[in-house]
Amino acid sequence: MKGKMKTGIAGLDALLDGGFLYHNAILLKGAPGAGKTTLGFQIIRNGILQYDEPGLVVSFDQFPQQFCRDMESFGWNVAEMEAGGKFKTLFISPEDLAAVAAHHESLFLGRVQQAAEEIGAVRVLVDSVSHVKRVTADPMRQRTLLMGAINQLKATGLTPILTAELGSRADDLIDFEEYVVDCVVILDLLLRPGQPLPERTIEIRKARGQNCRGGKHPFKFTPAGIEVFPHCVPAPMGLDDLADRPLVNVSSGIAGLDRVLQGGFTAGVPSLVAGVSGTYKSTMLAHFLAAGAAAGEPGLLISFEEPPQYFIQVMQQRGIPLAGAVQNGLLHLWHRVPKGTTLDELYYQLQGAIAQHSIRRVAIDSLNDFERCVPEPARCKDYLIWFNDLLMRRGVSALWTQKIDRLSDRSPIGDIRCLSQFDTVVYLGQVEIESELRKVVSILKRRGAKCEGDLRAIDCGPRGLVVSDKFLGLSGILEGSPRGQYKKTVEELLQPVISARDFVKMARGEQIPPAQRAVLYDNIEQLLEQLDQRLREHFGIEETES
Amino acid sequence: MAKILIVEDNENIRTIVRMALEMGEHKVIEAADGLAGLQTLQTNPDCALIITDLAMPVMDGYEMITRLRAESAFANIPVLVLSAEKDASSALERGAFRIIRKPFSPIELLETVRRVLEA
Repeated sequence: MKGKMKTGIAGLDALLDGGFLYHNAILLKGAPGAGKTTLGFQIIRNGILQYDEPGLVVSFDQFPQQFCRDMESFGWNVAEMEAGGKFKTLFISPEDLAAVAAHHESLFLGRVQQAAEEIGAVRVLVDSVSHVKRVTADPMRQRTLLMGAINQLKATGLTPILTAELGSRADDLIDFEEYVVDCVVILDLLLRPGQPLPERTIEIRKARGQNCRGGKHPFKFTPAGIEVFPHCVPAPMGLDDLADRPLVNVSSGIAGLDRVLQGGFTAGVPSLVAGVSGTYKSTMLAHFLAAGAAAGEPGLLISFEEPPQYFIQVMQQRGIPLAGAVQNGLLHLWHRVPKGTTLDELYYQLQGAIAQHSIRRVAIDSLNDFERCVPEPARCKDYLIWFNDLLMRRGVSALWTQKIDRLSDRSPIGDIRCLSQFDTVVYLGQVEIESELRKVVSILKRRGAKCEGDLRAIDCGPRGLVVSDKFLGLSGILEGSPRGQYKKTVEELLQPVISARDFVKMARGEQIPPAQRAVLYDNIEQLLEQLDQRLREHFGIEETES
Repeated sequence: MAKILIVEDNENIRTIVRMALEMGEHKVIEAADGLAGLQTLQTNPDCALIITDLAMPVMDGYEMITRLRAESAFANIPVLVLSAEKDASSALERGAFRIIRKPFSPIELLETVRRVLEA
């Protein structure tokens, strides 16, 4: 047969550049419980159901009932498959292997050949070849035995898939099985300190005659079997990439913020909302997604903390209805638990969701929790780059949140991580002004577009967030120590202006007696002098001699 | 027309309020904090209205209103609050008649004073 033998496991076929080569002997190797038998049987089952390639399972390990029960835990009914005429199971004593090396007409081979002919088998799973070690202690003979069996299976026209137990980790010796097969797939289990669940990885260690992607890639058991999540390393972008994407804006969903951003966030690139706890970061995501839904742009929220229903209820209370968008399929809500999620898996799922639902906006809450999914802290930035690369290539506008702890009285820009990975960075803070806690918003970074860069108040009204007053007469708010005072500005700058305006109105009155008008002019002059003095003090402008 | 006490620590604001009230031909007396305001009242028991700030040194406006309301001689004098605070509603609970937010319009202040005195 020509071409590739697909495993039917999308992630694994991607690692194998399409699948295994037909007639190559494949070894699935791993520690007990690593998933060797499950993976092998899944490849056989997928061959039958997806590619019309009948398959055979030869087991030295288990009793038929036990094997059937184990596979049924994935909803795979072995008896039904056998009844379909494209599948057979053979349970053989390991001692039968002993005859293989010397005699072509061994009991083992005879039964396999007969079963294969009956169903027209293309794939055969032998579980597990580690039993050859029970037949003889002589390594040379073990190797000869296995080699003989493999050659005979290949000669029968089958593609053999063999399972084997992983040797001791104490020695670095490679077991002889790996030399006699064409492909080696290692299934590994790693329990890291602080991680509640072991990490499962799959590695194509050897693939004779074909391309494959190296390295260890996460996989997991799902109710439908094994799923593999290949590490996705982005390729560099050329001039042609993104060439058809003009720099346009997408609404943040908050009119006041759109005005400050001069139109909204940049479409198709990642932006960040960073702030201390309780400053409306998640609410900003809700606005962003609601605005997308209103514009017919499907959105996705990936939340590591708030369950979807709770998020919808809280935002409903804040005047941002999302339930309708969910019902209409314009909003998808994912909840993931940091310690139970691998980012490779999430990447793979995100890739699928973008394609399946034509997602245009993604909100991720939060970068902090995203980083907790990475077992090696040094790799956090790599993952962030990969995710943002995926979103950019697909033209998806992304908004991340980042919770920051204000440990210092420096500008918050020093507390925000990975600034360089975002096009726009919005800062949300909380400051005390005149014995009152006020929430503030400011644009710390805006690439490729102008922004006002000043500090504004942000409050939650009956219809969500409102970005309003510019804080006049204050500096140092971002550092958490506002200098200059709101009260002082009101009393010493605004009040004289408003009063002078009123006195001018009064002086213009037709009924006003001349003496009172003169007093009003004196008042206006006095107020203007007062204002002149205050402004000079405030800006440090010396009086000029006339 | 009427004698009105202004209690305000900011001299500029006191001046503006006085200017506005004098345009309404009212007699104006001034104090720079709540305690001084209470002392001024002792010698001016005929005050028809008090206009006060809230945030002041020595004694703030809240405390002054509370003490005013506890003293029978001054308990019925209406108090207008002039404040830059966003939420000064607790002054109403202590017995203030109305709150006017700074910055204020002198014309509107005069109009409010007229209504309070007529009432």
